[in-house]
Amino acid sequence: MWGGFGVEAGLIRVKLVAREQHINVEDAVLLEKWRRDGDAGAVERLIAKYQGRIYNLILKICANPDDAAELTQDTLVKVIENIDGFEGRSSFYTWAFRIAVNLTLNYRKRKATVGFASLDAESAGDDDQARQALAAVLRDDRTPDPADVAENRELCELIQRAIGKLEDEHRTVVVLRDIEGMDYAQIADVLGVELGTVKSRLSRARAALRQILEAL
Amino acid sequence: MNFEQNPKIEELLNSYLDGELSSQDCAEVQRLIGEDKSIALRLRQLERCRLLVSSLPPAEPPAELVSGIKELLRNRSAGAGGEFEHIDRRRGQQHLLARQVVAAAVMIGLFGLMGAVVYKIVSPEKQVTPVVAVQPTIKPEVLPVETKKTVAAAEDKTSVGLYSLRLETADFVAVDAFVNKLLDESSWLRYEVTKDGRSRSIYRVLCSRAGLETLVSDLSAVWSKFDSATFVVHTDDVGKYVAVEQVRPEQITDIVKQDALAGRVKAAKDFAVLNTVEQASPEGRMLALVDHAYPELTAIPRPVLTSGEKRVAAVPENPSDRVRVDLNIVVTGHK
Repeated sequence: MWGGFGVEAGLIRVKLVAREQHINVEDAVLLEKWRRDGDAGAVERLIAKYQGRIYNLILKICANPDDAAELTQDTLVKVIENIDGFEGRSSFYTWAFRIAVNLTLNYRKRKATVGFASLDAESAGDDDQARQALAAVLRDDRTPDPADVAENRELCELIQRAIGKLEDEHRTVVVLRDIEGMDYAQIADVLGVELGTVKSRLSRARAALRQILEAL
Repeated sequence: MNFEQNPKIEELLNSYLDGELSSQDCAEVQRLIGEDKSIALRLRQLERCRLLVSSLPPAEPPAELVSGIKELLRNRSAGAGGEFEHIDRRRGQQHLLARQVVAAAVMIGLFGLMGAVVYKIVSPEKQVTPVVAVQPTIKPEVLPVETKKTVAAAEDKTSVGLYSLRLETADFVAVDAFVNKLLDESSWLRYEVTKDGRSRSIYRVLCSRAGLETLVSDLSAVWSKFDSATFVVHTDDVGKYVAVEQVRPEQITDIVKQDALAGRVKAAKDFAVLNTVEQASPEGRMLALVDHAYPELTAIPRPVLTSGEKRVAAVPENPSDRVRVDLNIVVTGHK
């Protein structure tokens, strides 16, 4: 009984601290359960909550599903291991994304140095229909329907390929803004750069992407 | 509007698109859009790009993600492995597999190449029917062939003289048997024979000049049995030759001993003229007359006649002098 009371009191304290530190309360409780009790279920729930977003963020940056899966694992492990060092100056979500982006960009730099890049076979499949659809979207004055774009698998692959041709820092800022929907301040926080840098970098990234898409 | 020269305009448009501008800046951008069509067009282009990217559907994370994280946590707590080590391991395995495939392909190629080389070296030669090269000096008719000693056709290239000796005799059987026996017993020459069992034999003989001299000397033992003897010296020009009719053994020797073809041809011509004159003069008187009375008139150098003694000694073998004479002996029964 006393033990159970102690547990509950501990969790209440965690919730209070979490609120103060802008951490999602549910996240804080799950982490506390894992740290204190070794509750594997708590970790699974935490992972289930973030794995999708982090995996997609990493996948869009590195463009390799296997690498993305393993980098996602690394990111979440790092989050769990370093949760005690999280100071709460930004949201937990931004903090986790910063770890993911740093790990992914570091890995890509390292991969380029080691020379594994040749093993990443770029999809060379040409799809004329997708190209025509893309050209129509770029020419047409009407705003394309996102649902139509999402349903066109070949067109999505073409867009993904165009994103993949961007430089790493341009690709990252485009993904954070246009896919993750972060505002400029959050992006600056994740990347650890000034707001003006985000503006200019995003502007250059979109200009490059526009040219790549038009060239496809 | 040149956007490359004014990057701030594009930056402004992006911020406008993303809702990051103050209301004052928004009004300014709207004014620019209204005034400049190129700015309006660029804004639409940027908007479409942004929409295309944001329309990408999210991917499903792999199901084994959770178990992978648990394992990583266990490994980290056990102090095993560093950052990216597991990714590197997978990459390394892929790399190793690719290298193994390439190495296997290279090995297969090398084995194929080695096999081809070895087969070329040790493969059995194709069965080639020995070619009996017979100079059709008499008649170009096909005769049954009876090869006794094979002469490689390639040896022709080492010959320095190509000759034919046409012999006609009334006693074909005896003469032919003699010639055959003579050639058989002559270890210093190589020959092949083509016979039509009735009245003609063609012997192709390859020997040295000294061997030919011995052969002719031996033949002189039956020379009296020849009704006619014609020695033909072939030239380098196909179809051109000098025929010495009623040739004597010593004349043949004298012709063949000439080193150069020109010398052999000249000697043959001289002997041909000489023999013709002798034939034309009754009992050779004209020749004797010319010789004694007007020796300076005979422009033809007198060949040195050898004695008629039969030689029985074997020809000294000089390996460097082998197969330097190619002689066709045609023995024909006189009809």
